Amino acid sequence: MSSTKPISAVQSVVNELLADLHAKSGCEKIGLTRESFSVILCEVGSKHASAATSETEIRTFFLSLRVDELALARACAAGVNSAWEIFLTRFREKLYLSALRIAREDSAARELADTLYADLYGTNTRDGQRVSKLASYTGRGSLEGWLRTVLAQEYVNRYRRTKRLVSLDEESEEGVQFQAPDPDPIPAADQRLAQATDEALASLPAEDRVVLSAYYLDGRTLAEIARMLGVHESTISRKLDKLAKALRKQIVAALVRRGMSRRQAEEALEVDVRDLQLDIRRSLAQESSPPAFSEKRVEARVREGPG
Amino acid sequence: MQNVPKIVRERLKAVAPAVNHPNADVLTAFAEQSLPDRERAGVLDHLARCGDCRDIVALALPATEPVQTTVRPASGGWLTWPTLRWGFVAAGVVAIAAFGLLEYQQRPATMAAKQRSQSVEVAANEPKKSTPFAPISPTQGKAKLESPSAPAFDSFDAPSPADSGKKTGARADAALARAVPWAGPFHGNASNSLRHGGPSAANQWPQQNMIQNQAVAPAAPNPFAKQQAAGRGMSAGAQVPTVNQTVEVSAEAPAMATESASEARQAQDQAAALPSANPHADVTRAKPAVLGQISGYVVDPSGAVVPDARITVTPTATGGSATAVTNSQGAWLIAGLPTGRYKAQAEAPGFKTTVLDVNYDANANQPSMYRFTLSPGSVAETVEVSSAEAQVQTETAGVSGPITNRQFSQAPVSGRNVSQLTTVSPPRWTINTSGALQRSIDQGKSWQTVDVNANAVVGANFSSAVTTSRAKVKGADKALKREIATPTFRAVAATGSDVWAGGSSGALYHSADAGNHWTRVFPAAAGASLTGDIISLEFADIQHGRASTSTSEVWITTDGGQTWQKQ
Repeated sequence: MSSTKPISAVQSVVNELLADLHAKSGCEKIGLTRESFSVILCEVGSKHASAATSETEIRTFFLSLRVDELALARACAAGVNSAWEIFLTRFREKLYLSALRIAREDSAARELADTLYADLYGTNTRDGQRVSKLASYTGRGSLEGWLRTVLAQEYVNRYRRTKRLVSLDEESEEGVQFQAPDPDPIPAADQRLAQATDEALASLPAEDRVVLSAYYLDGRTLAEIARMLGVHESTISRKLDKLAKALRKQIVAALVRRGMSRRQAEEALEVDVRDLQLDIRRSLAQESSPPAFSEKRVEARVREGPG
Repeated sequence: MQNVPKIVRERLKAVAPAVNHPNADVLTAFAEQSLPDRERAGVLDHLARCGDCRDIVALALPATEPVQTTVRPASGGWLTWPTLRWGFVAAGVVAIAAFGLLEYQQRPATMAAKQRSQSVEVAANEPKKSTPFAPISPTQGKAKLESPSAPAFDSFDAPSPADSGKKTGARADAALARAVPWAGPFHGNASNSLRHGGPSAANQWPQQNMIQNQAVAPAAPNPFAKQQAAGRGMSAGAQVPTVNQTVEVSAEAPAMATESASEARQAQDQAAALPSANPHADVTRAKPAVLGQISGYVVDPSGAVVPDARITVTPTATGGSATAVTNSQGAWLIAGLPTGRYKAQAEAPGFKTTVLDVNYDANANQPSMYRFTLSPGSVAETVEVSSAEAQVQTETAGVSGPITNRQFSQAPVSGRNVSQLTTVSPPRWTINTSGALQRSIDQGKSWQTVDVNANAVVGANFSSAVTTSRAKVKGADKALKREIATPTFRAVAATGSDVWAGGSSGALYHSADAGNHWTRVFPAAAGASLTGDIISLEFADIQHGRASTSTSEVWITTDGGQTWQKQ
């Protein structure tokens, strides 16, 4: 894959915008020279752009970056003390508070924040060079938001005991694929239902599926989902309502297409639900395992069903 | 809300494993709505399949960021009627309550106000039920808002205090709706603004509410509004209206009053969300509340740990205190301390209480370690009262120091407090000229009078318990009651920490812990008891002792004073 094209295209855009970006970043005040800032911009751009990225896209990309926070982060990663002081003043408190919100418990929160803090500061060295996680911040989102996200990643990795192998180092930003265990073969009678449901779900846009999963699998509140997606809470509420109705209709239609009568299909939807052998353990082993308490909830529901 | 069939849940879970989790940057940009559409679609696709990433996005949400409806207008956008009604009802309730309160606070009316109120347009005809907020027309510096005839206000029959003519309309109500959770400074001001709406209210309330540019709002919300605006990243920031000086409400008339329609709409939209939103925003600013912990050890002069020592940490500024007790390794830890100055005190029976001034910085990200070295107790200063039954103190195990147990387990001191035996040099004893019992713990440099009745326990320890079982218990009690006054001592004998003191009228006291605790002993045998003045005491060791009285009686004990025989 030719990597020269993106780099040169990126380089030219960087050169074009450097004066502007440089002024915006205030990197001189933080202790970052213009040249090193230019290098950083090129690196960030190259990571993002591919061969197919047009120049306008690259330009938009650069203009959307938060260059001031990028400069601060990179200066900190480089070990500039004044930058580090600024960082501490601005973010240290928020780091602990965010950790507390995420971990919800004081000692875990402190541990979480301390670990991240150490990573950010660059207590790890590789090849004799200090490695700071801040070097992987590229300015696409706010630095504060990035810190929260990194905290959340660390938390999910550590405390949720997932098999996620994503390292938080900059070089392994891309996650590692891992297989969810195959569900047990479903009895034949249910297969049509499963297929019909799959079909109905597949026809939904990604955002709808995210909303469904977040609400029914993760147990998120309407407000949380709304904030995740940047819409109003009532939008999510209405959407879920509509989806529930639409899915029902679609599954019935798909079942009918597969040879059931309408009544049969509707029955299948109702009855089968309760008879389903829900293998909690199996579903928990999947990547999107519901949190501990919802396991009990699901079990309770299952048990209550036939009753 | 209708539930989806369980099969849907099942199949949602059984999705293809997600690959290529987005990195933190992308997830952050996604959450902040700053990804280009194409990329956002890709992230959504991943999120539909990856619960972990969904969790990360959810966990990483800021404290209570209100929804950024400017960026992505909710479908419909306008406030749904029921919510608006709620907002107005709430506002109306507050308004009515506050109105009477503030009514006579600002009686003075200005003509200008009156004129302004009269020039307000009536727009009763416009059926704008779904658009409660009309755009502000800056021409006259007044913002005209209309509200549907909220039933709540029909009954709002406000007397009309002529006033500076601040009218508040729906906006103010919205302000109040928002204000409701915050009471406080908000409340008063909101009431002001509402009150100003009074005069017009009577006339025009059912039809419309007017709001003027100078409508005041509490100072409190404005910072919130600004914070919100900043937080939401809204470009239509908080607009501080020009305040009409005739109303002496805070000049920080909230952006609420003069916000653009869309912002007003959002504000109302979030009437429900706000109560949770803003206080958090404020809290995050106002209360750093970084907590730390301090910990340490307690040791004695030889370096051995002191378990079950009590550590008390008291902030010098405020009250309250935190305590901890050292474990068997002598370690203690107190967590949850904000930055500040503290007084840390370590105490253990048999040791001097030690106090340390601590200047703790919770932000230092280091647990602070403090080591208390307790020197053997100045028992004269800390008098401990032990309970009658338990020679074993359940609260602080004075006897459980490892060094003490090890060293003195062989000592024939069962049932006695041995902590005092750790004292390097046992105290010296004497009787002064007035017959008071005195003790020196500094090898005779200074002497303190010991009050044997300070912790007088009748029949407490074994010896006197046995004695009283022999002697008549009641008699012994009576004797003690008679002896409440400190006796005049004539003789004292000490073997290490085991001390016997005897005086007038057969007063005989024993202490096994170098004088911390005393027990009255009543030697008695075969119906006779020691009642004469004790003029001499000799103890060869702890077990064997001899008491002579002024009546030429000699009493001997061979079991450390539990039983006595008269010679």
